[in-house]
Amino acid sequence: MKTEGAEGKFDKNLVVEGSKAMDYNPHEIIACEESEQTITSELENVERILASRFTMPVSRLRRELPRLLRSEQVAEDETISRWLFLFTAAMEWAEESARGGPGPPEEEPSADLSVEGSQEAAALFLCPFRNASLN
Amino acid sequence: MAPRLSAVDLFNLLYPGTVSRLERYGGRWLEPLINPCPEVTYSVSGELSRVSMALRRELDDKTVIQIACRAKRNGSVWADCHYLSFHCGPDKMAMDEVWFRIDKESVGGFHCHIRGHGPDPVKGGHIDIHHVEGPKGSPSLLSIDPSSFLDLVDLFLSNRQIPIKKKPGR
Repeated sequence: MKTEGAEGKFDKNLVVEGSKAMDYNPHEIIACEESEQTITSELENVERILASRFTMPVSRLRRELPRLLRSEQVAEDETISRWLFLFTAAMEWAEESARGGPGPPEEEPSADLSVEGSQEAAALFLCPFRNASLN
Repeated sequence: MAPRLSAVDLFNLLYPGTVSRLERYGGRWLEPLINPCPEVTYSVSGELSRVSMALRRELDDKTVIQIACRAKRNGSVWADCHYLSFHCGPDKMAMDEVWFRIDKESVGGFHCHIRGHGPDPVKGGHIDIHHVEGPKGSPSLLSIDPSSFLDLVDLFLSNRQIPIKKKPGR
């Protein structure tokens, strides 16, 4: 099945290899537990891949990509679709953390998942897309 | 200890009948290009509280469908899907080429891609869902779920006509 690559877990070519493998069976794929950390880490991976593709820094990518998508200048391929999923999930986590609940299950305390850290994450994810809405 | 739930278990829990309906098409499973491994969270009391999951199936050599969604439990009801992506396309290895796709996410909102639209017609453009209509008598696209998406796929397979279209004048 899929292997970890130098460019990150969601490198398009690796995903394609997974599809080619023809041994994917959703009856046997066991769910793993999601956390804010796993989402933001995967989001960063995908953003690095996209930033490299569009030859722009990640901060600019976050500003530009929504506009490029809405104006149909960029098509939603699988990497961008993955980014859209991760961004939506990260925003949801950040909003819940900023709200202080009911939100996701409590995590082991750590610097990254502290209330302050989560509020910073919320600000980070919400600011570039003030018009974006989860509803 | 949390139960070991498969992608199929999760779909059967949230959208009963979806997996068996997909398997009735024949074809074969492919690894989803979003959420190849489903992800879940549990509430403090240990109940399943959120699910992200996807299924991708090749129906024939011109049709691949992928159903991806993220749902959260609100009391006893699974609802509040902040993310969904119902894809029907010709390419088993990619998502940018479409027959049609209905997406909902926080950046692009609720929108559709319909083959024939946009600067590159195979990519389907980016059309606000309010500017798109389904077949006469079908439920609103705003309430689309895996079952109603598969109804659209059935229509597509029956006549190879894309079952959703941009509203006139939009």
